[in-house]
Amino acid sequence: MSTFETMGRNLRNASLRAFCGAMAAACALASLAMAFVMIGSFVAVTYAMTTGQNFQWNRTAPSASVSVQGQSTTCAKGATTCETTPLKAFPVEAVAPSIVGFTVAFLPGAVLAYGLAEACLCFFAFARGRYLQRRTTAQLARFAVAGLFFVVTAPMAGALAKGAGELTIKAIALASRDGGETTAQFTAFTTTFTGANGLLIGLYAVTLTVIALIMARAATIAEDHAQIV
Amino acid sequence: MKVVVKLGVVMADRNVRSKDLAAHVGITEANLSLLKQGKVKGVRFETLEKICAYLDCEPGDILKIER
Repeated sequence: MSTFETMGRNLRNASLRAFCGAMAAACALASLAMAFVMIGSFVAVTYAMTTGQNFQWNRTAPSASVSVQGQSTTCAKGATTCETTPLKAFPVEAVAPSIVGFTVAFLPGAVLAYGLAEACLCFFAFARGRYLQRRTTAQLARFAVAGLFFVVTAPMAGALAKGAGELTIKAIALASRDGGETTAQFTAFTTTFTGANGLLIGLYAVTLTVIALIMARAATIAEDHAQIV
Repeated sequence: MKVVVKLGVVMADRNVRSKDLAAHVGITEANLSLLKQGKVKGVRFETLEKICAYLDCEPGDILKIER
């Protein structure tokens, strides 16, 4: 191999490693931001519900948000009419189902944050020149599976959350059937993950490019190994 | 300086056929032929061990340094 070829290969290698290092930093930031939004929203929602305050988070174009709409119905023992109120103050009976619903609604975002953390570790390993190690490939696989989970579940997160919340309501109603009864009914859980799909598409495009470059190297190694008898 | 493979010479000395040696070692005749011609990038210790056991020789009899 000539000196120019060696220099060219070293330059390509250094560029790839530097690029992977930058990608690792970008993924770490995205993962941290996503985790911060998820945990912050969940804590805020839980606090608002348990303290009986309305939860409002009005920010211009939030990257991820979850909201719930519904009503609670309170029937006194022996009464013929029941009082129906909007699900704003969250009666105690609706807190647990709401938390279950929000947990389900936040799940795709949480899995995406985990996937981004795995992508960060994977790109960091690439940046250190550990291209074909078992650990690196496992991290890459986990990132891919987390992304797939997010893409599949994010559009239906609201419906799943509503279902989970109402199932919990029914379970609680079945467990406590004495005296007056308060039930809650969720009209809709609304989940938005603005920009997450665009982020994933970009990230997958970059990952595919890096994998293609690594595959070229892997093919050379495989050819070398095939010539060992 | 390069490593040359003298397997063909050792096999001819011992009157061993490629088919029999390949079967004993567990590699294809095509790969054994490539090894005899020195057109491989490496030899596994396991392969070398089996070849030496069959031909009753030392690794140094098969692999030589050409200066």
